[in-house]
Amino acid sequence: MVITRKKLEGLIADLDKLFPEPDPNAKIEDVIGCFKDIFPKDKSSVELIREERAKMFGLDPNVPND
Amino acid sequence: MTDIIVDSNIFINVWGEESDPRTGLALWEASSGIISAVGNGKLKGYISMINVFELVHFVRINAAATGRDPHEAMKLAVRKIEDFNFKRIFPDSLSISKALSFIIDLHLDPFDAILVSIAVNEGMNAIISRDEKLKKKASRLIPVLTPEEFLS
Repeated sequence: MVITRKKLEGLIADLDKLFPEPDPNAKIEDVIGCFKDIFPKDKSSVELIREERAKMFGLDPNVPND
Repeated sequence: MTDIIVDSNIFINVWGEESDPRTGLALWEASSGIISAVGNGKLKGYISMINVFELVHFVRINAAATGRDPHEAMKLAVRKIEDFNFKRIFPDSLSISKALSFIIDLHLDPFDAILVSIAVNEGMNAIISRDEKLKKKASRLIPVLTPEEFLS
């Protein structure tokens, strides 16, 4: 791919939109539980992620992955 | 300075304020300690872009399932990673190639294979994860520690 200056500037602008500058005033208290209302509670995060990975590959999440 | 790379479950512990359903252990406490330590510069923390994809995807499907705006939830998820100074690592051709050998030799899934490959190639001191299967399969290559083990 040929990267012109204009194209590069556009790519950087897109990345800036995707990855905002860190907020220097960010507090961990504002992060704890920020998605508590949407995450399932009946399984651990490790189990939920394993299930989601299996689904992404079109596999049955109940089939052991060992 | 200690370099660590963090698995997706550590962020989900904190974002979901997760406790172990069997023991009642507040999993989010030590995990938030890790995120804080990276945020205030006591640790150098890294995250693979594959795990960023996974976290954003996980947030989207759960937001959509519970009536929360998925787009806003995904943007918030990226913000919550960026705010604590985690450096993003983009898997290169070497990492991807080595990951295939870990899929074959260690029976890792593709996500974990890329995580381990990046951690080994970049000379990380440890992977922080609560995934016991990952620990069992990858510990001969690199320490895989829970947040509690790492902080103790």
